Amino acid sequence: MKRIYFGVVGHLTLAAMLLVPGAAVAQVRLFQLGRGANTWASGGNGGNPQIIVKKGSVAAIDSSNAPGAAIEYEHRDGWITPRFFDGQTNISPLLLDGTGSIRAPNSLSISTSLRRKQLEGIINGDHSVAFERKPSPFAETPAFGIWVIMDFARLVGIKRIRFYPRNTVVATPRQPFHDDFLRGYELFINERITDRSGGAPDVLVSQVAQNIEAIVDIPIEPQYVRLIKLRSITTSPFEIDEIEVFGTGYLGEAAYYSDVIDLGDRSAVGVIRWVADAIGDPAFSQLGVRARTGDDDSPVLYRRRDVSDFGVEFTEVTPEEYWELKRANRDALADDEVFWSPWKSLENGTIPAVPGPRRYIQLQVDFEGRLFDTRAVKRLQFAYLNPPLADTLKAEVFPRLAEAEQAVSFRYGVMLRGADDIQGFDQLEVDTNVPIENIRGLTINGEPRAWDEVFNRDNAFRISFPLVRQDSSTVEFSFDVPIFRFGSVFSGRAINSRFPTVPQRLGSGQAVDFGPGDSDAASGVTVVIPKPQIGHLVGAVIVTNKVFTPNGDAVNEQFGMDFNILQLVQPAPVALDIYDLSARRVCRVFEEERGIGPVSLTWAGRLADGSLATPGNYIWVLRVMADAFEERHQGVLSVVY
Amino acid sequence: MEAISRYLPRLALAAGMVLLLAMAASVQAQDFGARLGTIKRGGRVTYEPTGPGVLFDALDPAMRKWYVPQELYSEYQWKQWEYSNYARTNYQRYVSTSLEGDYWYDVYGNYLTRGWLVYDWRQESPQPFGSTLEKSSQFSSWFSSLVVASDHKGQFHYALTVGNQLRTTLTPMTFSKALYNGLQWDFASDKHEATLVLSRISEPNSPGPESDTRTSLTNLLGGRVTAQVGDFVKVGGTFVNAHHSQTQIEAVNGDIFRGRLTEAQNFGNVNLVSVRISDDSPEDGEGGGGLFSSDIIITDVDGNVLRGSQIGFRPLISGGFERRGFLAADGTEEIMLAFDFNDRTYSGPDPSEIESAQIELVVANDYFVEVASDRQVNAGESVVFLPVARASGNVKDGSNQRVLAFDYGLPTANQILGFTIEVDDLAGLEAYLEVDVNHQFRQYPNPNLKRHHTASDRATAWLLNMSKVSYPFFVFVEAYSVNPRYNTTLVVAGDDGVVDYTNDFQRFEFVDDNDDQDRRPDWRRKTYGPGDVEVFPGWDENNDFISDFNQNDNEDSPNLIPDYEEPFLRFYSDRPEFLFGIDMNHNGVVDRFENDARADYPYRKDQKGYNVYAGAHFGPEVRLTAGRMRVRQFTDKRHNHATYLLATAETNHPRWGRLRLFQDLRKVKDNIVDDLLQWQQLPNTRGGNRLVADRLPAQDTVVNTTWIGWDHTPTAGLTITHRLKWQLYHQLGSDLELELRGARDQSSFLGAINKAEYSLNLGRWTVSPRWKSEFRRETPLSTGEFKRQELSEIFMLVVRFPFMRRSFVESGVDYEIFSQMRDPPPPRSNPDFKGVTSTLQMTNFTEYQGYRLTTTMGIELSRLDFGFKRAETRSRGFITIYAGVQE
Repeated sequence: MKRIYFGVVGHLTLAAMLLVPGAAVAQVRLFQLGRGANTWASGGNGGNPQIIVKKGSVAAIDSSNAPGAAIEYEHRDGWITPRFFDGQTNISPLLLDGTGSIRAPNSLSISTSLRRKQLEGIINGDHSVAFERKPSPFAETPAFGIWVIMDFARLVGIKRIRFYPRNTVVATPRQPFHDDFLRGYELFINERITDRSGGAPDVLVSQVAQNIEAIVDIPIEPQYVRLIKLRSITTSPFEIDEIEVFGTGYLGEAAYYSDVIDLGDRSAVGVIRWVADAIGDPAFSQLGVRARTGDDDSPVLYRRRDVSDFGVEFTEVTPEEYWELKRANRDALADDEVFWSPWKSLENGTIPAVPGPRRYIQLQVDFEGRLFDTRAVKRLQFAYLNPPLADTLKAEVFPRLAEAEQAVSFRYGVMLRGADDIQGFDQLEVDTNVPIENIRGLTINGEPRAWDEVFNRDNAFRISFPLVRQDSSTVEFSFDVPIFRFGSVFSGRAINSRFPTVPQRLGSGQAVDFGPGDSDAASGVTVVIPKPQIGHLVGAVIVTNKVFTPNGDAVNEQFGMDFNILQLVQPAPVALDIYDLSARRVCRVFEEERGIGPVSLTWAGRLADGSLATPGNYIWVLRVMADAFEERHQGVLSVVY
Repeated sequence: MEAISRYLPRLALAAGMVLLLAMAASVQAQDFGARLGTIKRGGRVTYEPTGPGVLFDALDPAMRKWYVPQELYSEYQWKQWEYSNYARTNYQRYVSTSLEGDYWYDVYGNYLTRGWLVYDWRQESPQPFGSTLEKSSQFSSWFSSLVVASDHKGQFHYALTVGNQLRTTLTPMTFSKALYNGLQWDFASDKHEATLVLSRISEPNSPGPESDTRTSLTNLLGGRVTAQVGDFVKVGGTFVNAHHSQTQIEAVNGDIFRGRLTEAQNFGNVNLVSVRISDDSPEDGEGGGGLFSSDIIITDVDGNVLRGSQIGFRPLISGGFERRGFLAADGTEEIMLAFDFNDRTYSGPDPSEIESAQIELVVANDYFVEVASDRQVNAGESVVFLPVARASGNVKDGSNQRVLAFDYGLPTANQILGFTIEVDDLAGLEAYLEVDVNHQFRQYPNPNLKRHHTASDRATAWLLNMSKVSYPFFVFVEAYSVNPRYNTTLVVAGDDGVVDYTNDFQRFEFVDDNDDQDRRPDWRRKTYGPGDVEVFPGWDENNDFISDFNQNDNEDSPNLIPDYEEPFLRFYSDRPEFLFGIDMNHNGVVDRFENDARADYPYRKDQKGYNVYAGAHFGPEVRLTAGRMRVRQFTDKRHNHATYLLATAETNHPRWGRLRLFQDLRKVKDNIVDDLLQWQQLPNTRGGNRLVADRLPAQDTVVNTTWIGWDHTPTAGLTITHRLKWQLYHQLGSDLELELRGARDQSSFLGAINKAEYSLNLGRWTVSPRWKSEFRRETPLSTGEFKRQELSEIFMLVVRFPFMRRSFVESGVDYEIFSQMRDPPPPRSNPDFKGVTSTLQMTNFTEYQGYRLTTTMGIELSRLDFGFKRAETRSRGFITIYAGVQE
């Protein structure tokens, strides 16, 4: 059981912030799903989720938070998991809820409506209705070979199947047909649609040619199935009051959709965190969380379709109007790609990379697992700020093409756009691959301003300056840093120090005109190296003291080497070995995992046993053992004393 | 000189005319007599088309209607203007002139024959419905869908074969089909051989009585040429090409082998190009495809080249986790890029003026890149993504960062060009080398263009087999490399020219999957939709197409119990677990029993490596072999390494019988997944192919397999058989690694079968006591599965005595004592039990109306006693009559 907690520090910061008096504090709000009034079952108390589902070829809207009733709210208090069945629950009624079905394809001698009613009657717990194959004065109604096929349209875990006629399990004296049980049957299961040649043949679970039990109760080894197929192999008339399928374990796949949450106004969304738990073996289950944001309350596009002499015309309508249209006038339902963003996967503890600030947000939690291995989620939360720091924040860096390893002076600009009620920002945090140098020349709207360096780490730096809040304001500054990889992205966030928990992402685009060479169309925060330089893991290797004298006179004592690791996105093993001229390794000077950036190595002429290397020529070999290949550099050094 | 050159063409033309006239004069009209038709002027019947001539009798200046001489004048002497009286000569009905078929002429107008059209395939362009194919009813009914025309002279032979179900192979890597539907022309001489295969693979039949005509189609053209060089070497060349064709476009318009876009493919402009980047190894959940940048390079019809980034045209990107500097598609995440030419940020050439579009991506890590467009749709108009590139290995640190540039296009052709070299017994050396280069062509659709921009991908495959025998020593080397993009498939054009990329039934395979080597391909593909539902390679040694483990099963009388569990039959049938053999891919299944759903290349796609072994014979009975193999997967960081030592011995002694020993000891490091579709007879089923996942039992393992078989006959009538199989997997990985895998450090199978059968004849009575002992001790690899140890002792007595002339009675008892040797019994296994089955059967053979009737009637009683509950009994009575033919 592995539990993922979001940071205590985050809680404390958030709580402290909420306690600070003042109008600005009230603007930071915390949304929690799975806690307080926003229970999982409530969906977050927003507008109903609108999920396009397909039933056959027809698209429909599922406005529940758990399409197909696939989520379990009560099995574990306060948590959601995929739907769980305890082995005692009859799951046949699931066929009536979602995309499942029950059919009797070769039961042709009765009307379709009657057959449908009878089939529904054998899975809905109504003990007055049965599926009957009995002769009547009007129809022969053969009983042999009749199939009843239950298709759950998804994988459900089962452990037992029971079927019986009326007046057996439940007394129905008015229908005393307890002797009309199925006298011979075959029961098949299949975890896929039947396809013998495709490797999905039906599996015969039970075959009884001469059944004498009115209540047939068949235990099944717990497993996922999609199809359950019952076939009569008797000519004796029969009826089935109920077919009960007892489910077990968790659904293999499930999705939870929150309501369309109205944040009240366009809002910046901070870090999204959730508490999750693994049930069973975590290696066999997965959890995914996604989000999308929108400008209106309907993520689905409802359109009326009119055919005229000028062609087909589409008009957007409200959902209510849409469902009142004739079927021919309803355009196919589709996600609104204009006012809503696509779904974006999230990682726990990060700011969602969804377009914003926007007023509406919707969250999705996806589960995947096995019968008894799955995930559970307890709480999902984020802080949001409205009005936001800005309506849009664009950033760009210049130049955007730089030679690898060369220290380049970059200019960085940010433009704020927003209405009067925005909060503005007084800090910028920019991502880097290595620590930068020489931050300088900060201007706001072209005017030099004072600034402070809040921190300058391996992967980011932050500076503070006077509040920038006015529409079309620009912040510009310069810094120096070498580029070691194609696609070094100086992404960043704007922060208002009054609301530090809700930073706002900087978009990539035209912000400042940096003069000749700065094309508006190409503006962004990504810096690339010339494409021919791609493919090298080690830059130029600079060797110092190729001939050195490790004799303790403090002069020219050691061999030195400086180089840059390029391109890697994860550290890789780097080793420096010394070989004698007969290709025997005499010393491993260095072996460590290193990421991109500069590396300096030295060798003082000492061998592995601590003794001094004998004078002579040696070969040094530098190796970067990356996943794709091993890059080697080598040269000669001389030990003299 | 100038005059000569000016008049040379005219002279050549004149000479040609003279030559043709001379030839025409020399061609005498075929002499079919004058029995049919009107005798033409000149007195001879000619069948060559000459057009109407001048009839001098019709030149009289009379006003009376000119009655054309009656069609059958010479046959019946009818005259239209004369009174017809049938008193003396009775009227004879008309007889159809086509009773003996129609007249057929060649392209020169030569009369060919009188008869019926059997097969006709022609393609004319440019014109709609230019491809016509007809296989008449005579083709299927008279000739059973197979027609052969052949000739030979001296050492030269050729044959033209047209058939619906030809077994054709060029080489195993290029073209090998169990049911090839098309035309094959073969030539053979003493030192040279050649083959040409041609087929309209999009529809090789004419389904109705009419010919089948199409505008958009897919043709296959292939061939192979071999030449013997000296006494030992044979060299060969192979070419296979399948391409779409569109008969409204001139055929001589570029390289036809690159194909043409079909009407449906080229129906509209491309407005949206989508790229999908995902994780090539999603199971590890990390290090998936990384996207650093993207761009599109558009070339318009005037040759102007424009970069999307120059005009601010960027794709709409969705999905992917944001990392520092790139987007990552880890696990099940996908990055989608949409280049929408209708987007407001697009200011390039109008889609109708785009000649080509090249996508340029900077990617790294374990990427899998697919592309689609709004023109790349299936029959249901759903967009279909087709693969473009995948990372080699499972890189996670970005070290494989590269610029991936590819031209967008729709598939139009697939082509393989290769050569082979065979060495036959050159001082004991045998060798086979095959190298094949695969080109997959695609073209950018634009209905405004007649010639479309073509791009292609290239993939190579090669294999080398060499063996040398110098008794008692032998050595064998095999090496191969089959690129993951090597492809022997093309989705053919449908009726309306739609290329349905997702429809396997429209997928034509150059190399079929036919693991059981029967007449039917295993998979469901173009030319054979049903597929083969019964595939159990190696399990049908008697070639009756029934699994040897359920021999008494058939459609009319399904049998749901495998033979090794069925009373009486189980004496002769042992469980599949007792099979043994070589398992070079180390997936736990003997290689010769494997069935998969892949084309039957000699070596698996996406792998390269070698295997070498050498050994020596120690006398005729003992052989020792030592070998080493190294195989690597291209697209994943997976390998299959093994070092092995094999020993086989077989001796046959008149007194001690036949003793066989097989010993296989190997050290293995295998993490390449080799999933299979194996035939399994699950409880209460007749059997079927089920997915058997490779659980990678030998990731760092010492594997030992020992098998001993001893058959002897100590005395007349007594046959004794012993089988012992011991297989051990000893894992060398760390305890932590094994725990994470859920694997035991030692897994094993020990099985022993001992059988004895004695046949005693007492007068007309035959008494056969039998005994079979089956011991099984199994420790599965997975810690989630339970150990088993079971002993089954089975005693049988079968008595048979004939009565009357054609009848006999057979009575038998099958008594089983099953001992569950694990306490408590593991789940899903039987506890101790005793079972007895008694059968009495009478059989009669009767000759009846030309058939041999075999009648069986009898009764069977079974009793199963588990000890702890009431014994279960089962009874069965039967009367069955079979009609057969006398053997």
